[in-house]
Amino acid sequence: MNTLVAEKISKSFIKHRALDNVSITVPEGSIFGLLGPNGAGKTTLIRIINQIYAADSGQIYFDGRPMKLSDVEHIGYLPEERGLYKKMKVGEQAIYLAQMKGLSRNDALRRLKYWFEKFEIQNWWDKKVEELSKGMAQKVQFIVTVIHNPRLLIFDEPFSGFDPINAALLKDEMLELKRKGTTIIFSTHNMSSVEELCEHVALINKSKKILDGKVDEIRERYKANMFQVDYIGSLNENLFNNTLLKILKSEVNGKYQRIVLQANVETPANDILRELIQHVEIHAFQEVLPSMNDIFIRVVKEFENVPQQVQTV
Amino acid sequence: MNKIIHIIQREYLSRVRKKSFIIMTILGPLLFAAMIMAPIFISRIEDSSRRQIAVIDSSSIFDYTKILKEVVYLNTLQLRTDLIKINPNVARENETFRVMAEQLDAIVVQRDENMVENIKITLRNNLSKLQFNNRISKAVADSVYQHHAAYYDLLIQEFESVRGKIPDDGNTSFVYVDMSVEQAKKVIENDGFYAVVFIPQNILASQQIQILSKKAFPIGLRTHITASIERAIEKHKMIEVGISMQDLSRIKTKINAQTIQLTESGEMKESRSEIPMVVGYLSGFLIYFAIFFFGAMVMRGIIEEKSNRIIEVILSSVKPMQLMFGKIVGVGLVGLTQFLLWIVITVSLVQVVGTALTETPKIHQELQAVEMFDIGGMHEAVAEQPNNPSVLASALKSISVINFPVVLGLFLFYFIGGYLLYGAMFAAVGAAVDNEADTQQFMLPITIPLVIGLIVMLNVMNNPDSTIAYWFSIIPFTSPIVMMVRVPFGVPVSDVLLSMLLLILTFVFMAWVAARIYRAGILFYGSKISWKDLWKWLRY
Repeated sequence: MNTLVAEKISKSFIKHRALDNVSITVPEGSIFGLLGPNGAGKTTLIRIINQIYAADSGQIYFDGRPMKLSDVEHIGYLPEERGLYKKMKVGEQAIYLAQMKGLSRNDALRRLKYWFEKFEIQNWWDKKVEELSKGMAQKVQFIVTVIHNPRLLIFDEPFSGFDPINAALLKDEMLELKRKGTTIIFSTHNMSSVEELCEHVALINKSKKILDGKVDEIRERYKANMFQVDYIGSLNENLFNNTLLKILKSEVNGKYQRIVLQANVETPANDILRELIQHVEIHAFQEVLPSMNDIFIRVVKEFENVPQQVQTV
Repeated sequence: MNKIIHIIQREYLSRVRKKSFIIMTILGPLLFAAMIMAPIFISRIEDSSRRQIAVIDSSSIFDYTKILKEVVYLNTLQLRTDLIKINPNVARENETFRVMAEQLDAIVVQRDENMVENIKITLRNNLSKLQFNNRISKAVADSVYQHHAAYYDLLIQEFESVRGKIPDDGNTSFVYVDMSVEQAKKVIENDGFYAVVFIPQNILASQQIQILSKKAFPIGLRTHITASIERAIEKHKMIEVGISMQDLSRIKTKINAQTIQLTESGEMKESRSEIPMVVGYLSGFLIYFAIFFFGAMVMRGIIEEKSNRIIEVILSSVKPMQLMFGKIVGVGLVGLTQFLLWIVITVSLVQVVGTALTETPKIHQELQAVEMFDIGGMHEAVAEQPNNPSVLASALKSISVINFPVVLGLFLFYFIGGYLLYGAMFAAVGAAVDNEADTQQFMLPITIPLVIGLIVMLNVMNNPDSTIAYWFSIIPFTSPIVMMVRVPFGVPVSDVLLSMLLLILTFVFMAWVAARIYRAGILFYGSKISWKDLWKWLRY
């Protein structure tokens, strides 16, 4: 079951094409990463999903049926450009924003009570937003995003602008919401958080989708037959003079020597291990998968050379 | 629909609860009331400082003191001659007559309201002295006194009616002095007089007078003096050509015009143009002010949402249209509330302060005059004849002639229509810019029609049926202001309907334009927007 399917979305603005035939599929209960360099079209796609913009062509499906206007009440959206009414009191503002998502006043009050207690910020209720620190305002901003228990949460660059403590809190809350069954889309160009959180990603560059799929499958696909070995003893340099193996990195790691090997594509891991065992005492042997950051850079560069190709795993 | 109500509610409550709203609500009426009351207070303050102005009349055309002095002196000589005929011993009382002549001279020079009385008393005292010295009998003294007293009464009455004088003006009184201009200057410098009015000998030819004073001379007082002198000279000239005082007062005529307007159905109704003018001017000006004030409030609200970066959070819940119209309606309701409170508070304030000030009848007149002045330049009409009940009655009657429910209904329509039309334009400007400083370049198309409306309004107030009045009350961008000036005078129903229809259609069109600009501009940050960009957004 997919919470959200975007099918062949295109959108042009006066000066440029923002999205060109982009499709994504977001499975229910997953965390979906929308990746891409700045200006790639991520925010435009997110605004189309939030029905702030209308797509020029293409169709969005929510829960398997074409998306309706009222579906915005099942979406929680934390935009990249976010803020609150500075002159309004925190509690009043939270109730207002909850009501805008279709909650009744009483429901809003009840749920806000839960969140304010959870974050231990009950005494901010009657403060104006302008009296809060930036970090405090970010907590309030998060609460009003999730207050209506949305089925789908969309975070646009959620970690930009958040201090490390709030970023960690946000990460924890995202994982907890996912456990409870919420589907989450988040757009970012911060790759480390992608590996940590996302199961699925789509990579958009220059208005086109250039890569999508499950994170582990993508990393598997882009693996370069690299291995990390911790050992005791000394290796004969001649061992690596053939074409099969190449040492990329060598360093001392505690009482072990650590090397990263680049193996020929045809060489099975067992062969390498068998060879090494003859010379040194192996402590750890592990395949190194490429980081999403590496893949990101590589795919974007490839795409710039061969722009038409869409790669799907 | 539910959401738009929440938006209206928020826009309304967040503004009504603001300190600035509460302060404005209280301060506004205080200001209005102060504007109405200030002239009264000022006139009361001035009352406490009385001032004297010296009048030097070399022409004698105005000031009869010199002639009177001579007449009195000759009369005293005549009295002596008459009495010597009765008793030659009187000739020994030369000293008495000399003192008497001096005393009379002083009284005449002083020329105050007790002058006649003082002359009579001096006469009586001196006759008593002669009687005491056994120069004349009591019977003679009495008879001579009767004769001379009657003579002086008649003489001065005649002088007063022929020459007149500069009447006292509130806190200012005029004293006739017989001194040179140089002497008078010294007296002014010693603060003896507030000013000196010098009337030259050749006033009839030169038509020039001089007013010397240490401080800046009040315009009102100057007008008072010149008007008095003009009247005196006119009187003098009329008598010269042989018109008697009786004829003069018969000739003088004052007309009160009763203007009657024929309505379309042919019936006659009495109309005074001052009251409709006041009502029209006030409503037109209020609409002008409200459009500017509350339109700018809409614009600022939108810029605030943009610069706060809350706009995208809200737009994930509601359509841009809903937000825009929710804001326009919410602010409009704030405007209506503010106006209602202003009217209620101002009226009660004026009433309370007014009652406190009307304890003496004199002030009451002033208050009425000032009130009438304040609501429409009726100062002259009422102030000249404040006690004439027919003027007030006819003013009141013409108030009742204006169809107030219709005026109020149309005021509300044009207030709302005009505000919505311009509110949409203000909203589009707010959406197109990032901060208030950038709004200037787009304000012109909003400001110009509004200011034209105001100028035309002031222009057509005196001629509400002119062609210019017709066209500008039909053109939707000026009609809310200009039509309101015409309405109290009575406007053909077809004109009003046409103007209303055009206003509604223009609003719908402008709302469409504003919505397109708003939708495109509201999420646009960064570079400064040009007119060309706006045009692209409009067609996009």
